[in-house]
Amino acid sequence: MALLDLTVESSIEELQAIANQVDGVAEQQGWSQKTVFALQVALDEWISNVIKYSYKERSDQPIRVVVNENEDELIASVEDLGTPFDPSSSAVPATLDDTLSGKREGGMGLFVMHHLLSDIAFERVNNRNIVTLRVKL
Amino acid sequence: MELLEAIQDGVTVISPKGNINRATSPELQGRLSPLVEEGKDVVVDLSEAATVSSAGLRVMFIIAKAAGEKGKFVLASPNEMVADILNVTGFASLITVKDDVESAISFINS
Repeated sequence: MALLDLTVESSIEELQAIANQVDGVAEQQGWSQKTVFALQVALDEWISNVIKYSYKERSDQPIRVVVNENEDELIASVEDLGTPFDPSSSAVPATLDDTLSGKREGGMGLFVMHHLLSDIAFERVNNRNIVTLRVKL
Repeated sequence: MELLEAIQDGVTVISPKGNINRATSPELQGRLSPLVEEGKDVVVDLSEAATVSSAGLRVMFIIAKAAGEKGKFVLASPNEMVADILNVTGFASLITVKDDVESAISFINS
């Protein structure tokens, strides 16, 4: 059984509901502050992207968040039914000058995710986008 | 996210509590923007900010640019993980970050 299996609507306000649930699981599992921070920020970044790019700001679509852990890592997956959206198709910027000056958007979130996570994997399965985020415990 | 506001030694100190993300950063921007537009010196006390995502960083950058020469804009007291994000994204070299609110205020008033 997953530690957390939650489906929310694709509204940006749901970010707090997810954060609260993750905090609850973190306390129960005794995860370090650093681990919880990485998971919370990665989920914030990814779900913001799903709402913006996959669901094009529609707020009534499902987003499923599942969190599990094994011996040495925490594994979170996020599923949506929106437009195919592959993060590996948008390159992580080598420098952040363009994102900071507003020339391009979105790169900074991915940059932060790559910094915090040990792995990000993307799949398109049965019309679903599924991203799997891994954090070292 | 909750926003507390205080005036300390003539400097406005805004303390966000909770997560600064795409849902909450517009409220932070809305609070900071008029202050820096008026040329006020502002410290954002991050001691109670559990997380700061890229949306939050973007707001800090916009506010720092808006403050420009009109007033001083300083971040204070980020937790270890937020400090790491500020460093790795390069924000720490664009925006003044101090270890605590007192040092931020002395920096502004010096």
